[in-house]
Amino acid sequence: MTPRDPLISDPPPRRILDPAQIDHVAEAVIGLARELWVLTDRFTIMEKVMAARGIDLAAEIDAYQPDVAVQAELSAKRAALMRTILTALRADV
Amino acid sequence: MELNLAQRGRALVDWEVAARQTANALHAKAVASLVENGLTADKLPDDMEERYAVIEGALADSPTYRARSLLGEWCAKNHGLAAQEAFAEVRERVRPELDAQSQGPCTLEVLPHFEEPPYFSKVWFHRTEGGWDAGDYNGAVHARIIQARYLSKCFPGDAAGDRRRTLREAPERPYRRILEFGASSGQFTSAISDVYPEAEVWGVDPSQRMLEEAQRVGNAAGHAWKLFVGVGEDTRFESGSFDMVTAFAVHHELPPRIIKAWFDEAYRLLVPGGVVLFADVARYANIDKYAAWGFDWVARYHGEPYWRASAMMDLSEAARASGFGEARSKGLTAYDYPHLVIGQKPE
Repeated sequence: MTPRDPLISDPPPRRILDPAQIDHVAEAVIGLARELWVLTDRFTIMEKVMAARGIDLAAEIDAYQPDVAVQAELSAKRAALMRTILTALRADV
Repeated sequence: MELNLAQRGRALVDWEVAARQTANALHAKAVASLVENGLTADKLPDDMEERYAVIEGALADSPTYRARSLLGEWCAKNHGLAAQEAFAEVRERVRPELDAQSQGPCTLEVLPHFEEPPYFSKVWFHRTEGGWDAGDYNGAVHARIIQARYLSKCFPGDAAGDRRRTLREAPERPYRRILEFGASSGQFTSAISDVYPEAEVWGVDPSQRMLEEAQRVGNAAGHAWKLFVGVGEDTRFESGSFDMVTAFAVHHELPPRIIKAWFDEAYRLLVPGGVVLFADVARYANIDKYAAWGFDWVARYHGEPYWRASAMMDLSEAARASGFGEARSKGLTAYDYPHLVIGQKPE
């Protein structure tokens, strides 16, 4: 990426994490990669199963709009995933 | 008015919501830990930079504060990108409807003398990658994804009600023609038409992309708003031609000299007896020192370079300096948001 000219809105430079926390960050990344892999594996299998039954799952999923109950279910799962990161960072959850 | 997104875009935006909500919660926990340890708000310095030093010094070893900072930085950089990616995924599906809404009674033109001022062109507001007008549908992206699906969930409340309550604070008098400075995507413009349905409504804003969204919103509701790409400090509209000049939640995006110029221009544009009614974010002097620091923190790291100077201005004093002799300020809530200044041009 080509560096751009500084902007008035650019925040001041800062370093948020202590170098000693690098292991915690690596732990968080690996934990997230594991969750991502589980989902990738599951989703690939799901598409194969549905295709074998004549259903174009990708198109159906993009057209799907979650109702309130499904939104709540998804929110709870996102929060759980967020806790995985925060726990690794030793934040107060 | 939110867009139906496809799965990836929806999930990306939902993730940004979760990250921001978590950052907000961690911020509250970090502050609570300081208060529990005796660093109460009344012990914090008045000077904001000294306040940063005291608070961040006390939180230097707090993993909670570091996690808050990481998530905050993530959101500042990524919420706009997520929204743009979500829009790109459905762009071809939604374009016909958006383009159809560009047709109707609401007009949009660029004022002939308009040039982008540096306080606008040199700022990527909210750290929006490429700037406020970077994408051809940035107005729709901001209003229908970022506002409707992100900000409304990260900061729940009755935003539309706040806008209408603000307008109802104006003194009783006929409002035949109303001008809005910083009309953006038309949210406050809609409130103006709700509260004063008989009024002719004009709006100016330096962002063409946001005004394009305002035009869609106006057309969809059948409003004949007159929208202009321009700036409030230099409209060159006819003197004495408006009954009210108003703005909502825009002043914190302006340097103080422009805020003062807005009052001057409002005074020139109003009829005798006409009303200036500006509403913006809480004044730092009117709220708890931790709350003010929290706003300042977000402003500092989320692309709001004028927030502090603006939030430390006495708007009623600025109004009086421009000729609104009886101008007064008030907060509509205990936490001073929206913070209003109301003035009347002498008869």
